Amino acid sequence: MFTKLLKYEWRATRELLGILCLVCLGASILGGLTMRYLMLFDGGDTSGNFLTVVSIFGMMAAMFAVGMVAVASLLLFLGRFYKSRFTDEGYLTFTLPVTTHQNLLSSLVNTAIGMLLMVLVMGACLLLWLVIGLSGSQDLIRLVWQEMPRLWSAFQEIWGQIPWNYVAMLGLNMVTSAGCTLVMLMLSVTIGSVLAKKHKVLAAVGVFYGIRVLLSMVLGLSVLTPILTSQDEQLIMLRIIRGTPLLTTLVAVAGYFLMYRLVDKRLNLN
Amino acid sequence: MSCVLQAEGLTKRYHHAAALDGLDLQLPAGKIIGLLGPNGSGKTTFMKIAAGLLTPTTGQITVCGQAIGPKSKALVSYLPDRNCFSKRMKVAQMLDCYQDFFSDFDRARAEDMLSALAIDRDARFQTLSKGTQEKVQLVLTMSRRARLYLLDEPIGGVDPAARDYILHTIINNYDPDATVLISTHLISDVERVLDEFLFLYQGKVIRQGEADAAREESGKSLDELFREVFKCLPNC
Amino acid sequence: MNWKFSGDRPVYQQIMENIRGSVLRGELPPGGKIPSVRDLAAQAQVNPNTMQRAMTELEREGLLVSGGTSGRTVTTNLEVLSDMKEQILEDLARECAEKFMVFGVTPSQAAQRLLALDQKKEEMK
Repeated sequence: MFTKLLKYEWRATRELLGILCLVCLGASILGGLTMRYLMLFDGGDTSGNFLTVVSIFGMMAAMFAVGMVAVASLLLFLGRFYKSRFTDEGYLTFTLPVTTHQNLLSSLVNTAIGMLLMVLVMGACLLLWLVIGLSGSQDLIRLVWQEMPRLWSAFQEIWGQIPWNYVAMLGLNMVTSAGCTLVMLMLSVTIGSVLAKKHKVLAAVGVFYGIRVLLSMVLGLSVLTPILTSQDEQLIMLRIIRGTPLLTTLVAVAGYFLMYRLVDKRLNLN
Repeated sequence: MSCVLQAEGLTKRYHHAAALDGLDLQLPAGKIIGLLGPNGSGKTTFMKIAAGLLTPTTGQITVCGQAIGPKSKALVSYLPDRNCFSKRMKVAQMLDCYQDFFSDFDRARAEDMLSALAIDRDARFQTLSKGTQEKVQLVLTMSRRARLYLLDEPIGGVDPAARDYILHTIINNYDPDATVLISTHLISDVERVLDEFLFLYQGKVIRQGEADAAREESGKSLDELFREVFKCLPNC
Repeated sequence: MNWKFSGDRPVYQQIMENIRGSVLRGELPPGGKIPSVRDLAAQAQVNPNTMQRAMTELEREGLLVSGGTSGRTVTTNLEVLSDMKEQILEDLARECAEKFMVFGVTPSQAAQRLLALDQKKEEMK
């Protein structure tokens, strides 16, 4: 059942997601081309000024577009969650023979996978942007290529000094933080939809910001406590880096169960 | 299984009032039952609880002995009084969806009914007329071999020909193991199809029985009986 | 068969009257096969349970005979049929007399009016 739910969640979002990917690609190509033009511009020719201005605007537009794609994809998934569970479509979703956990998790998992995909796509597009942008600057490329071995060994030296588990912890921090934010977003949508009678979207936004304030206070505490209880700098760092993912995960789990309870017991579609 | 739904002391309270107030009822299998009552009497609330869309404040409800959950939802086929599909979905996709999630869905039967109504499988739901949309939803609901069918105001906003079609489908679909609960306030259209009836008022059952027996006793149609019972009640 | 029902009398009784009428008019001949409960219910647009009840009652009365798995047939027992016809005609006569009584017309006066109708029909031929 869960995989079927996941399949339908994906089907509902893949078209728009595909369009956003194309927009991102297009924007990156535009950005790359404008960057290439600007990199090659030698500054003396007045007839090129108009094109320069256009290029600058083009590049800004491309940057804006890519940023928007990121926001839009998140809104796409949250919108799908809201529409399929808390509008008339909920009359179908909640009469399907699935448990509430399967119901909620299918949306969560689909969103997580989808956003991960978008991050990868955006990364690839930005890489393309750079490649196109730098493709004409022979001198720069040659310079970087010459300095490459020196840069590389300097990087390796620094890298060797950082304890491996610090990096792993930072990575874990990022993942749990993203996951927690996602759960908080869905929780906000749920609270807004279930508890607010009118202006549900506004309520959801309000709830989200309220949660953020609350979380930053809690997180601030988790950073402050090690600092106050120890003098050893390294120990403090360790405690913070270890403690934060744990705390974030706990918050995410608590948020999920709150969402579960709201949907299971207090759902009221109209 | 002789009893398809059992409710005891079922109460649903909102801030201002109780939509259901200590409702007790039992629905036997193999019957077509009318849930009749004025607006605000709790018909839709009751159906939503049985379908798993609302949780009661207090009280118990079981469907074929199961508590409300995924197992009961697999036995209950619910037709809401509104469209519950994404408008951009095609009819064929809706059939796929039902087939995917409900093991009791009889696809062949649904296809036959849609063909008889000359409905294009590739049409997007939003392009169909309102009457056709309601018929499609009805076809999907009735093509499941469920134990309990909950039809919330199925003939409310449709023309007389469509009403006939809906009643025809309900009769043709009759299964001695299953029960159909129809909530409506268009009693005279529906009463010849009912085995039993329930009069609901302010969240309680105030009268119930067999349709023919009531006609014999009172010498009135259910429609007339309804008017008689409800005209002297406040808030009607 | 004309399946129009009025809501103020039990549906199963009205179905029984309909079927009796069909038999008398010869639409359902003696020994003839009756459609299944489901088919008849679909035709009449009534609940199959109600149709079942009507058929069971008619079986009890002897008008219909159950053939087991092959369904029901109209009885070939001419006595049953003529008794039923008698009953129906008597009920009709009583109903007619009651209606005339409302206007103060006695049964014998009513009978004269009916004869007069008959004569007019003869004259028109």
